[in-house]
Amino acid sequence: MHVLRNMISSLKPGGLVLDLQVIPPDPRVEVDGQLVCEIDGQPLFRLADAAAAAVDAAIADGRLLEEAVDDHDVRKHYRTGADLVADFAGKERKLPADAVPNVCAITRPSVVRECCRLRRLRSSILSTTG
Amino acid sequence: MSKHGSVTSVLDPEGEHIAALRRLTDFHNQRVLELGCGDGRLTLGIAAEAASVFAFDPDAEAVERARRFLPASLADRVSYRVASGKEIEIEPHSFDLVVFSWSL
Repeated sequence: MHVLRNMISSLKPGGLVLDLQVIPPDPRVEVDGQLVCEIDGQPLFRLADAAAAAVDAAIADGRLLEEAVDDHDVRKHYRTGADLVADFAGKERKLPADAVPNVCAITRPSVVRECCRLRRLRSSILSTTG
Repeated sequence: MSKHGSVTSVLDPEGEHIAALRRLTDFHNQRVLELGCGDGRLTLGIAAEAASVFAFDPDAEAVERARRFLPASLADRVSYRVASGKEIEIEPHSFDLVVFSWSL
């Protein structure tokens, strides 16, 4: 992938890459920590899979070394369920159609929780010469 | 906080992303290149410790917001640009660390 190659070349010898991506499972809509429904995460997972494959290829051909992985949940907070539905209206990731009326009716603060993976990779280029 | 039309939302007020970045590296004295900076949400957390951050994103509106909310105290350490990873030209071997924010 051209972008990754370009960015690796911008690193000083032994420099680090931190790659943040979304990962399964599907994002969850929650109210007060309780599951309301799940969102189909595939549109972003496909992009994330392609990015991970590019990184894996760079590891396989020796340009990067994977040093650490950190999986963590991230939350996006909405004033109401209607705000959440409106935010997803123009996105590729969709709420289940049959859940939309229920989510719209939520008048309490609503949250989308999703899982992210951060990978730390080190450029295996140790010198700018030779 | 972001507003799209009448929608109000806040992404990661708990700071989980910046906490994860800090678990995996120490930004102190690092020259950092950030791809996909958006409105600078992570940039400010990185710049609080780094020597400098060059952050870019193809979304011109997001970068404008990032510039607007850049604190004066970080202005000499952060530089924003509207660009994509495919088109931008970066001097080889010029950064200690590259951060991809959902941007590969």
